[in-house]
Amino acid sequence: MAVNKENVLRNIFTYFLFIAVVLAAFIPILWIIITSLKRTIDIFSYPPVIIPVRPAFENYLKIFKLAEMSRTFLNSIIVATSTTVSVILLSSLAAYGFSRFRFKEKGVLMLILLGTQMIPAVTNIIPLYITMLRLHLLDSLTALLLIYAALNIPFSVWILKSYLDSIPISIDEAAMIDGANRLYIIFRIIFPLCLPGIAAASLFVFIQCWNEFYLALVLTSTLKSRTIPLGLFTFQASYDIQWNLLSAASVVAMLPIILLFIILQESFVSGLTKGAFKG
Amino acid sequence: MIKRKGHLLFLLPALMAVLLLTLYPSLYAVFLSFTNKSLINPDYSLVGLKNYLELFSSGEFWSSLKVTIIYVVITIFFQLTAGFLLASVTEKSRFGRKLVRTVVLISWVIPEVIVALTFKWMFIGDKYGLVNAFLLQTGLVRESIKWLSRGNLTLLVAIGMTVWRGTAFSMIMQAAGLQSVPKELYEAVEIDGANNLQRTLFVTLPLISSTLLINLIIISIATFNVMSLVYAFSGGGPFRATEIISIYMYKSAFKFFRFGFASSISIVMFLLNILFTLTYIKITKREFIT
Repeated sequence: MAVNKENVLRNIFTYFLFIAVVLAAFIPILWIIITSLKRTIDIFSYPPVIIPVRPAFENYLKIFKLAEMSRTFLNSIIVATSTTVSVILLSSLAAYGFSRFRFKEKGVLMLILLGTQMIPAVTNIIPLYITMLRLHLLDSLTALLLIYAALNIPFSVWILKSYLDSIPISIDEAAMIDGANRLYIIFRIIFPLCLPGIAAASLFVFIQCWNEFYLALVLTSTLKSRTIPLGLFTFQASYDIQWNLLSAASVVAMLPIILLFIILQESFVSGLTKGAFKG
Repeated sequence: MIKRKGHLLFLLPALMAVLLLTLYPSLYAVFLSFTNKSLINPDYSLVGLKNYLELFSSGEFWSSLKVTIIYVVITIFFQLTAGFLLASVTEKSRFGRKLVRTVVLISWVIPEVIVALTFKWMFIGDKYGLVNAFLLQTGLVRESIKWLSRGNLTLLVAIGMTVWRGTAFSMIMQAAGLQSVPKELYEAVEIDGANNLQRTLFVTLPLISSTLLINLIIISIATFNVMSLVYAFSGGGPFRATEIISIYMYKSAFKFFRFGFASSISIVMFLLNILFTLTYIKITKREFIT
């Protein structure tokens, strides 16, 4: 298998293909970044400015002066963080219960939990709207927190349980014999051991909350509780669209997700395919 | 040290949250679908199957269903094919696995609204849109194309956008499937003198057929339930050309406030979801047995 002409050609072809794929995948994202750096007068120039000569970095300052953007950004941070923390807390406890106890309803309860994942958001949207209306929680961050948490618990329990199952129960036993109580064992010994699982689940939940649009569209109506996807959407719908500002806001909204994703990619992808194959 | 008592303490908080906010609402939706509840009128009564009868005799429902089927079938065809191709070409190269897969996956984790608005901006109907500018500059067309005001074209762009966003999932599934193919098999057919195409057709595809099938069902369900992406892109327009069934349901509920009627649409969607899922379970079960 010497390096021959055919192999070299094939390699060149493969890299050419890679570049084409990367471009196709990246052009829309690149185009938002470029647009975000254009001055307003450059937006509607023909032919379009591909590389802004004088990048308008001030767009990024402008968007934070708009209440639509700064407020929705803040709301998103609050909702996504608080949901992630609540989901991880509740699901790791539940995962511990599923992993370390033996009881006869285990199979049924797990099935119910995962079965709720089959319910499409469309089906629950009206009942959730009516419920939140009755509870006077419409247009509140609390409503989003509660619903997002419930939606994300099953998958997190699933990921965390599979991690816990891989940690030998003899570790629990050893600590128990040393006189540690159960809560100490859970929070100081077991959870630190399944940190990769917790990281994957947290990232998953955070991204879901950060991106969620449909429920937020229905359940929120003012800046008080609108999240960033809604902020972008209404900004687009209400003004004569300032694409450069909208793009700058989009870049800011994408950035945390892309960074988190690149950092935690491995565990995220493996957690996801695991879930997809067995779920 | 496996204990028998005390597990409920750990399970209850999570279970309660899930049951109250996902299971209960869906049962409530079943109930609502048999009523004439609307947001405007606080009084409502049971109307039996009236909503369902109205739904099945409504032209809007069938036209939405038609749009949905076109949208789903074309989207999943391209997602599956592109996912398989991407997984195969990136499999052998480290560079491919790292860079190409990361870039493709980014399209899948960013907010749907951003994807939708970006495609809208790229395909905007006059010459300022990136796509039209490119087509005009290269001389492929003489006049800019009205992507967003001609129904068929808008649906086409919506499909392209969904393929762009969703292919990453099929790619990672197929990549996992390809990894499970024993390498000796490739060596064996190479000795027998098989070429690339033969190898793919007679070795790879049969061996990952179950992965492909599971992949197909998962993306069918996901694409069937798409709402945000298309709604933020076109709102279902122009003239209902991209009004997939989830948008039809949304409009019945929150533009016309017909909660009872809209619930019947959501239940029909739910039943179709269950149908897909049962097929999925049946196939994976068969996999476990064989």
